[in-house]
Amino acid sequence: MTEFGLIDGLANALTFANLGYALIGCILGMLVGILPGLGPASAMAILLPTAMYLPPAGAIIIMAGIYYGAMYAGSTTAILMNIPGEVASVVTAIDGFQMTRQGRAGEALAIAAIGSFIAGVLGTLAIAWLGPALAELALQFGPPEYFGLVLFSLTALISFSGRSLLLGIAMGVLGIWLATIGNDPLSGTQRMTFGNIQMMKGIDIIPLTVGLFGIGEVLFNARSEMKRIFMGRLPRWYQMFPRGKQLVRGLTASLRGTATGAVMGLLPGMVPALTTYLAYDVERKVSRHRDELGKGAIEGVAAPEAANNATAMSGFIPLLSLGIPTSPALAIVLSTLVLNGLQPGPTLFTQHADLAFTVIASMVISNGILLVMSLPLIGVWARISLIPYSILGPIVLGICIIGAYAPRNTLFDVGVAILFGVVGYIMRRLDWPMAPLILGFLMGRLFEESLRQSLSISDGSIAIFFSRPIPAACIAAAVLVTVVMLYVKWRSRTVSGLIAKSANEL
Amino acid sequence: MPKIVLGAIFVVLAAISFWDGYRIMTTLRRPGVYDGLGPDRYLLVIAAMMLLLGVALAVQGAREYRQRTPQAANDQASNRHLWLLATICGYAFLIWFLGYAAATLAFFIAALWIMGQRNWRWNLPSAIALTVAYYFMFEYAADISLPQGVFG
Repeated sequence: MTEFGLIDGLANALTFANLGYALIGCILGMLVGILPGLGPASAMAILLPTAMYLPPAGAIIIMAGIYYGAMYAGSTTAILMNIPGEVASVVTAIDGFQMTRQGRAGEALAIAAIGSFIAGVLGTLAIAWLGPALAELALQFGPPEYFGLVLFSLTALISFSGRSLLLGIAMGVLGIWLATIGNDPLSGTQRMTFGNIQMMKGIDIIPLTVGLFGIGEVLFNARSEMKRIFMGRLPRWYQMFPRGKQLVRGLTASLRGTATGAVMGLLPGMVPALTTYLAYDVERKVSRHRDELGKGAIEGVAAPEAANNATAMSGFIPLLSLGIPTSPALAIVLSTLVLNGLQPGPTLFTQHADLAFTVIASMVISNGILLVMSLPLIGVWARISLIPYSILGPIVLGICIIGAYAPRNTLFDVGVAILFGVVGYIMRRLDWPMAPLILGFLMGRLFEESLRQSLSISDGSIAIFFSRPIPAACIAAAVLVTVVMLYVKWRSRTVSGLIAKSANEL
Repeated sequence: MPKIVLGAIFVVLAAISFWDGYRIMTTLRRPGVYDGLGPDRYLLVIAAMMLLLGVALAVQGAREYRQRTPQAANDQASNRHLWLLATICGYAFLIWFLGYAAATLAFFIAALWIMGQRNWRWNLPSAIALTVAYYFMFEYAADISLPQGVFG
């Protein structure tokens, strides 16, 4: 029944009109993804009124196309210029930009596209076959389970700490502290606002990200009088694609990233920005080439990009089968469904099976469109690394400043971006890790909400975290991972210390 | 040395957070209004972590400072970044005062000059083209209302 539904849906999705809707959605999504400051949710919200004039399937196909088009294209600027077009591309920028500096921009862009495509196709199959069953499992997650999961996710701070564990943890806590500024998520109490109206909304992730990464990077390169991002000669476009061992490494990392992103994407609040961190952390732990991560490893691009797209895709499972949106962008898709008189939930697959499977099949089509649109353009995009930095720098700064202003139309955010630009420049100069700060900031609200809600349920007793299997397992895993990683770090430091000592003796 | 400064910043931020957490606890906390932990005590816990980390960073920084080896000054570095930062700050002020078009045009002209593009015949058309391109990209394609300035 299910197989027939998907094939039937594929035939519907391949009609001229639906292909057109998918193409429009992908193009709009790519534009949104490249521009920092404009997230898929805002773009979809802007287009929501037009959804009423389209057939239900067309409206949802366009919205879904924007969503994963943006998810894919956010990596382009992250790889080429170290400006994450979407917050989900922050992690991609770490290795992606290093690859660009080594003249491997084409390889990075290609594996990002291929990884996204793999995640998209596998994610679609998961939606079609496992959707309702997986969604019911995710429903068992309450605040204590979330707290356990967030706590476990925070162990990634150790991986992202770089040379100094203390510095990494400090940056993570600074991120959590920054997330406390503004209205408290549960009671609305103002914290650290000092009566300032702009501060009440808190610090937005976009100015924080474009400041730390974009403005900080340009200031750093201006100081070192960088001539171009890549000084050598680029290969021809067809030679830019990963081959041989690099391709195998990229594909296996894509599969791991897909698994991480798909499972985590089922949970509300686990937005792509968070699952990309987890996917990168998995690479740090299991990849054979973990030593190359952070220096331009193909796994550092493939895994987060696949996780990013897999999360975006698997978010459709609870949405379509239970009517639960797991991210703001999916809430807009839910609105589109409701506007068209459709009620998401188990009945969607029985009463409107044609529509449900047409939309699901169109996801494969859209991912194919994104791949076809991206690969031929890789040669063009990669040439950005050859533009003189005296021209590229001001272009990047302009995008960063207007991009910081865009989400909330306030110059306060421009000020925040400049402030964090200076912070990013200092951190870049001192080689301090930026990723833990962003991770702490992203996790901060979820950490506070889940902790306080759990303690409210248990009247303040922390026993709630140990009496339920999922949080107890997560906490045990967090402790185990922390102990093992600290031991590994300590041993590697001891070994490197001994090597340095013996070198001095020679 | 930078870690000592960072540690001091952490201590200052912790002190501000302690003050604000204490303010909320003494003025806004009423029975039944907040959950057990509440926004106040949560902030105090984070402040305590910041304080501990600040002290730890300062101690580690001081230890590293004592063990440092003298390094040669980097002669290659320029102060271009400081000029660029001043230009960005000026842009943030001008965009509020003059609005998007004039401020962005001035910003691109200044930024291109600072970054080493000294050909006016090239810089001026480039700045105009970028200003117009960004305007269409954000105002029309992305439907974002750009600042009009105090005269707008």
